[in-house]
Amino acid sequence: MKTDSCLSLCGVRKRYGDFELDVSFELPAGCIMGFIGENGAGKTTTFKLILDLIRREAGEILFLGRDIRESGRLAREEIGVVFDECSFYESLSTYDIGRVLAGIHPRWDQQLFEGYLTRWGIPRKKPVKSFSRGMKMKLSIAAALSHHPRLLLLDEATSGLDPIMRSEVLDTLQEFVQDEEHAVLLSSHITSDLDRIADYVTFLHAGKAILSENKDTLLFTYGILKGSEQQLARLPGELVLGRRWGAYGCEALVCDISRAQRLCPEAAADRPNLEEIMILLSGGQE
Amino acid sequence: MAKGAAQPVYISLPGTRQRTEESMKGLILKEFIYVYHLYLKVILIMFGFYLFLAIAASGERMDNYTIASALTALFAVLPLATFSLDKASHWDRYALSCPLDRRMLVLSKYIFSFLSILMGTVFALVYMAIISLVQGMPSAQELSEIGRFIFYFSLAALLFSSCMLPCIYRFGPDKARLFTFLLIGLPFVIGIAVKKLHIALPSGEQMETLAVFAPFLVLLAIYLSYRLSLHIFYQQEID
Repeated sequence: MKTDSCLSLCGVRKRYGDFELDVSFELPAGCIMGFIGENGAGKTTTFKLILDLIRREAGEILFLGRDIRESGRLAREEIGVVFDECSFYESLSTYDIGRVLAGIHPRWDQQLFEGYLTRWGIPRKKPVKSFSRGMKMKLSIAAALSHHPRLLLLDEATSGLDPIMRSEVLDTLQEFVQDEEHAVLLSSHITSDLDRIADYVTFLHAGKAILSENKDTLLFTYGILKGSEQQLARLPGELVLGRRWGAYGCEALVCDISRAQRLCPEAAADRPNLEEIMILLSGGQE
Repeated sequence: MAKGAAQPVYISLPGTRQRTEESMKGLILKEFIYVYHLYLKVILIMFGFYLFLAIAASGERMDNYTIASALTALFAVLPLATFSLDKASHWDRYALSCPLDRRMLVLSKYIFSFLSILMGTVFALVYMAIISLVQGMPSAQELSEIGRFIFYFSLAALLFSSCMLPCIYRFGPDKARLFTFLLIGLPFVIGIAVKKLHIALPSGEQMETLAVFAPFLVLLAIYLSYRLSLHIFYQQEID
């Protein structure tokens, strides 16, 4: 584990019937990690394991160098969480929620909370049920940030937001990690958001963390080769992470585009985006 | 320590007790905010309605005891209602991601139950006080009866809560409603069984002795109920 690791999962396992989650990754301080995978890949299960809402069957989860379960609620003082749905009963107002959370979090900063409400135009006295989805999500994010956490966990928090609101939220997350002391783990299907702000990306497929890599490495070292099956058959196994067959040929995701191009000069090569990497890793054949 | 290196999460335990107490305040405040937003009007309307009925009908004081006790019972089921609200908003999932633990969540529900029934008892006493002002002050003996009736009914409400809360943790608030009806019906079933089977009721002296020990028995029931609820909740995985 690196000395500046904020969150580290090593060999974490959980089984539900036929589904087995097996995930390992490390999130350094000062970074944003995108956590992506298809529906049912195990992203939310991973979040629940980190928060000890469900019991892991193997592995360890370290937060700031200590086992998160042993640290208990004192570790959770340092963690802010945003789930995909607003976790406050809809008849409560923002004012009520602030009062409740001030009574729960020892380090609650009411001034900071009020600042976010003003910045994002969130009403104080109206019940939450009158808010749009975007407003509810902003309220959840304001609540997560207002007790000065070191780590933010966001589970599909930007889904359903319009592009303007998503941009505001992403800007806030980038501000959060600017001081190199904080970190964000953001699960999202919106790969363009992760293209924009993520420093690291972890891909989860069918319960397995098949890739956890620096985003720039993914985008500039990895590549997609397109050609016939015979052409791409020359690529060695360790180079190819996924293949997909279409009507007009084959696509292969490779982990070293330069080497792949030397081996297959006649195949067309492209730099991938995260969406293409995810599709090829999830649906492709090796 | 190098710049950007991880700081320890916590160094020592001083302040933990203060943290626990402060966090509990937030949990219990949430329960009362639920009640304020959703049930306060209903409670006040019912209080006003039964007060009006009692004054207009000039009923026997015993009828008024019954209504006063019903007000206490109304408060006894408030925790069931707040459990439903928590479930609707996935509150437990969020709460356990805060600096709270499962013991605190369970303890806050028991404290809220106790405070609810205490509120109900106060409402019942206020109700009886208003009736007394209108219908004339009761005699010392009647006052003693009123006090004992309301006190023992409150104990019964606490016993009811101590049976209900583990059911809620085990089966969820929706299925636990069935148990609520069973619990409410149980005294009637026992009464019918006693009558049909010609079971001898305890003597007056025995009842007096039971009445002395009743508070301690109820406290014991609450403690056992709390331990059972903790055990159930600790085993559960949170959705």
